[in-house]
Amino acid sequence: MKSIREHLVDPAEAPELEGAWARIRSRRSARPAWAPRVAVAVAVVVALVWWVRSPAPTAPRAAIDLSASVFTPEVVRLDDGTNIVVMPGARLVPLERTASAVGWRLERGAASFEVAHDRTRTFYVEGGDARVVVVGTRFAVRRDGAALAVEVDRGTVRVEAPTGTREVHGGNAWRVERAFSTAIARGDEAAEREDAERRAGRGGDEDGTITSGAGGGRVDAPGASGAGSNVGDRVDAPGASGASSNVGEDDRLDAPSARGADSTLDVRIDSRGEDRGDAVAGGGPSAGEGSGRADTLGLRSPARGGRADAKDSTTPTPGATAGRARAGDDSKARGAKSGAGSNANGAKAGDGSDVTDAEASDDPLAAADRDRARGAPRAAAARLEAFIAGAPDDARVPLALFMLARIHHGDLDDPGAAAPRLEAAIAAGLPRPLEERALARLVECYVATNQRALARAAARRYVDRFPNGARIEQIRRWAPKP
Amino acid sequence: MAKTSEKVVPLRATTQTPDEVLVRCALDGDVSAEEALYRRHAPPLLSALIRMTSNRDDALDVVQDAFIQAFRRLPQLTDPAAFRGWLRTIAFRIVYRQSKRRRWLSLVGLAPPEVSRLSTWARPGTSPEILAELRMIDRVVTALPPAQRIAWVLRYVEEESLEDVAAQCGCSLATAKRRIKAAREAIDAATNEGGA
Repeated sequence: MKSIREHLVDPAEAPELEGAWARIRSRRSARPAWAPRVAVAVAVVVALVWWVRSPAPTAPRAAIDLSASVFTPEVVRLDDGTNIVVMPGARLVPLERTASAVGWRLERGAASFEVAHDRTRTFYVEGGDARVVVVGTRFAVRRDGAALAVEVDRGTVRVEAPTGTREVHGGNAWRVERAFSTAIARGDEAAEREDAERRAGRGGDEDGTITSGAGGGRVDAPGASGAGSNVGDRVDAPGASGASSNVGEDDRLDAPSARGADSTLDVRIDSRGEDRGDAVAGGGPSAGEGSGRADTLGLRSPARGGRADAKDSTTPTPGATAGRARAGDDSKARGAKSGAGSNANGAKAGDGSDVTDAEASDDPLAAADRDRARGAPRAAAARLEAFIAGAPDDARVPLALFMLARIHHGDLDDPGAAAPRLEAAIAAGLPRPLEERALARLVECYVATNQRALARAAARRYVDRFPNGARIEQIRRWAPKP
Repeated sequence: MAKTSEKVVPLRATTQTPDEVLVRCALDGDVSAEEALYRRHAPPLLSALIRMTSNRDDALDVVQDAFIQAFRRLPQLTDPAAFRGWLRTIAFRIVYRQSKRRRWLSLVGLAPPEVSRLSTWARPGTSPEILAELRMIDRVVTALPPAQRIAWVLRYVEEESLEDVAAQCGCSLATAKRRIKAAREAIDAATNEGGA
């Protein structure tokens, strides 16, 4: 009687199960014919009760404190027709409501406003040192520590900062930091050059002047020069040296028009070290421990071009500055090649790199980096896919998977494709610093694809594995409550 | 104005994703997590059901019913990691009810009797002696009450532990042991009879 199973074949067949799954799906989704009618009736009753019982919304009231939940934005419609969307995790506090002024303070996170036109009343939003004053417009505001980023979709806002006042028109984006403001203008290379030159000390007032932005802007990380480079990871570490070393470690400028400004940005960060560190929330103690990616777990505009995604250390930094310090995890991940920093057009960076083009061409990862740097992320992805398929046992496969995930997420804006590759990369075994980034990015991907349970599970993994991780504060928002 | 992404991308569950995570995702309405659970647990369940019911179509129906019930009652699952055992409990309860119904229907001539056909799943090249023994087991198992038959198949064909047999049959451990023992005694008696 023992081991009867050994004498039997496995009778189940896949095609039968495929058909069964289709039937399960159809039976699961089938609803009784009366269900929609009942739903409509219930909705009508609820709407009527709500309409009869609820007073007209007259926000801001003194006690209103609009804090969106972690997952869903809070949508508020004021009685004057103004619409406010408080993004997940944000907090918006009313300051005043009089016949002449309505004021809000953005404590944290992001919120968007569609303000009803009213010439007799001032509508403003404060955040950090700046105030955004509007009359009839649609715009979004994001708070990053002391910095305030404004993105105007329609109409005009006036940004009042200690350093000056400036009107921002529809289609433009602005960032106001503690000591200066930055125009973030995609598509206007002249403005970018002007801004970059001013940052390099060759023109304009470095500290107080607000420069006009043009074209379709995007809100980006603190201190981004000209073309919207995301420097959130770069400047987290307070102090000049920390900030400087972070530049090369984490971020890259993907927009071709931005590359020229990269080196000037280094100079600027070095010279402004402590101020910049103070201006950005969540300063980390060392290079590579920074937080505060502008588009991480927050307000993200994937549709906008010219974006500068966070660089997760495996990619040589374009336009690398001589003497730039590389973070430790870079060297762990890529060995000597990680510090190479080939620039955007493939030329070697002058930072003592010993990686030649020929060597890079033998390395599929380096080649993929070059593809990506020249604006061909799909080619980079294809190259990495081919490498992974062709050499599944290669020690570089985890890293390749991670790079692939970053390309899908950052360049191709496909977090759904990035997530499984991140899972695979983590499962295959990444160096610890990269694993930390991969897990954080995984959370972001799951959030972006609305897979909240998976996001929470990934966040839980992150918290368990990296309780002191660089992105712990952001990730904690997604970790399940104990 | 910046917009948050709202597109839902199907989960490509990796084999490493534990049942617990998938169940939680399914509870959150993630259909792809349900599919991942199905793809993981349906094949072994179907195999077990085919061996148990000896009818492929019936087994497929049970698989469908079991998964539909399981997904519908997922909020009642207290331990998400125990999804497999819970699913099988649902499935074998369905089998038990069907067997009892068929038994009554067959008594009044409204349905053919349920027949065990383990011997039809014998591997190619199985020795005639083993085949003969399997046919003998089929004859005995066919005559067993459904509860005993299910318990015996789970224990000796599916090779589940006694505790799992009890859990999947929805009975106490003592009851499971008693059912298995009764089935074994019937098979031993038939074996001795055949040997004599």
